[in-house]
Amino acid sequence: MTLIEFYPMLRVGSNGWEPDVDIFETKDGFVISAELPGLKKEDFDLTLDDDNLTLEGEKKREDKNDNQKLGERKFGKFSRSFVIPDSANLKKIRTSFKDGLLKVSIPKSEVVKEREIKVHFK
Amino acid sequence: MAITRWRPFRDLISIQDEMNRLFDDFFGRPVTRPEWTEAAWCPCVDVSETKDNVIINTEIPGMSKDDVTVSIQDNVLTLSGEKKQEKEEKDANYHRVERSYGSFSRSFTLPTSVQPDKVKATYKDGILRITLPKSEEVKPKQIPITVE
Repeated sequence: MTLIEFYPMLRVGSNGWEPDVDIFETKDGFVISAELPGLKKEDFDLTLDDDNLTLEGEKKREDKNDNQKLGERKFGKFSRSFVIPDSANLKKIRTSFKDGLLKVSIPKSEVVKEREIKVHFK
Repeated sequence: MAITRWRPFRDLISIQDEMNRLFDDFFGRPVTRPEWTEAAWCPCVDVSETKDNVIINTEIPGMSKDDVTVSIQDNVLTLSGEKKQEKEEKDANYHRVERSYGSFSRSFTLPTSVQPDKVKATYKDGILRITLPKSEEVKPKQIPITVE
């Protein structure tokens, strides 16, 4: 198995808020989970350009004209990009979005899984 | 009418802590706030007021309705729950962990002018929205002007 670091490359447009992201790798693939509370499907885009996966959108206030007493939540436009390693099978990316949590599953390609070689020492 | 955070240890927070918080807020994302030290994680809350209601919006992405409880006792509204890390993810090799997990509890003193028995809570897209209807006496009233 190739040990390719899966790392975020750009952190742009973060004027106040950007989603918190967890990335983990299993035997079969990578999973990115991003917290997008209050966003609807049409509020963000997930695009794949070559091996760059970009998540961008805007978190908008739901109540605009309210008299605010306490404001801890942050809002605004965001864009985050991640470099997908060569071992990923880009054709089989799956996404789910529920309760404000976006999950992107990227399986590893079969070729990579087979490339694992056991080395014996004498 | 004001709804305020219930901070039992408010007086114990020294000026130094407040200064640290200012620095944290300015130079980066605060890891913990002084009033949060008892919890690993605490959801962000907005409280706003409309003509008829006081509205509390809480961000709890990834949690289900059953993971959070809302209770009212003696005019104190308490939000508590636990954001759990999914089991299958525990064995995985993590490349990046920015999300926070754990138990939390936050309490808010309700202004006497809301009707505690008519409080509604809804959960959608990771936002828990609590609507507290104001009592009739405090709602703004239009006074008709009669011309004599």
